[in-house]
Amino acid sequence: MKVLHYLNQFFAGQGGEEAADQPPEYREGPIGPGVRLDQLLGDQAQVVGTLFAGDNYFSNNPETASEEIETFLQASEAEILVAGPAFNAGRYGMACGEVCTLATERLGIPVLIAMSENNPAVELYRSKVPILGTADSTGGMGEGLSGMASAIMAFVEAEDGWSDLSSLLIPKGIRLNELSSTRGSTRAIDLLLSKISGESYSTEWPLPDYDIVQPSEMESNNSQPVVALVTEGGLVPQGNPEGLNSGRADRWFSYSVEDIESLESDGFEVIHGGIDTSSSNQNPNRMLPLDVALDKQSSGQISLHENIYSTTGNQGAIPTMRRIGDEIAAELHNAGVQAVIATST
Amino acid sequence: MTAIPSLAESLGVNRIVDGIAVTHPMGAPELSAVEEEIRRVQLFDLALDALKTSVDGPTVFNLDSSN
Repeated sequence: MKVLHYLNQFFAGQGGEEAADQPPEYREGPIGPGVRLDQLLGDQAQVVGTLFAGDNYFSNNPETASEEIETFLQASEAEILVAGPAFNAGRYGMACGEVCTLATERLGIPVLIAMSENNPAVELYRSKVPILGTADSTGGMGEGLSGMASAIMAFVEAEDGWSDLSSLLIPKGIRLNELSSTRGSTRAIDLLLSKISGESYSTEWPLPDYDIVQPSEMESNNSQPVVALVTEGGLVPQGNPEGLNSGRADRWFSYSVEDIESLESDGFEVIHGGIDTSSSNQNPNRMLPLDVALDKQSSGQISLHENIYSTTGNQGAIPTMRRIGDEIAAELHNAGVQAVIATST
Repeated sequence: MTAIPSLAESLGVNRIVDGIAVTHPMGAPELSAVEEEIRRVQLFDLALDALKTSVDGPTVFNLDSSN
């Protein structure tokens, strides 16, 4: 089987940050970690070529990067594309995710990424492409390459592709329906009895892992902190002109409150799709207390940030909510905001 | 500021103010307009106090217990 290997500029021996803008390039045969990978594959598969690009190139040139990569992929005649190991390197992981998604969705080429389950790209790409877990750092290179070689060889043997090999991979995070011979209440009691009696048991509904955020401290002598108001309550200007979603939000908006004294019901409304909005629509300050915040600004207790921020938390997907949170937090940080009061339904 | 502090705690939110209701975390429609505004000011003050308080992890600030 002809294997194409994707690397970033660093592992392809092109340089570190100074080479991170490098456009995609193709070389015949294995490079860097690909040499060992090729040895481990033995006679079953050969690394016929290596594709590499700088870590920043994808995020800075998404459209041209995709076109260039597609051209290289077609020319390589690869039967499988493998990327990494990218360990816990975020930009490298994202590039692996982009290249492999493109290869499999546009060209139908089977793909495999090797990276740590802690790589931020896992959350974004695990439902689209098979990902093999590795260590967080390059100390796990040997083990990571052995794992990749074993997975490729297993793929060569597998009749039904990666779906036969899911136990090797990081779970895709997709729940599949299946019929059970016993009803839910019976299974729940059985699970509980197994737990009580110390036997092994496994949940049918694993909960997502959440980040642990270290609490930050405000300077104790800060008598007039710059405070911003944020809500996930679906607060929008009357008529929702920007089209904020009432559920499964994929966007957020900021609204200037420099010239208003309070959130009046003729100016703002709450479009959250998961709650009875009538009481907050009568008085939107019940959702986000701008009236009080402006009083506190007048009395000198806070300095209120000029914008309020709003999204809808209803049915939000965790990765999307994380992105929305990151984007709002970055804007607040750049604007010099020192504290945030966020209201939640 | 949320009416379901236990959910915020399980998500790892560090400073949580126990709000009034899911549908209106900062409103109390059953009170008179003046009383409701007083309640909103009290909750806002509690939030400012919470922001100035050092915490080691998820901590719930409650209006009743702080008074």
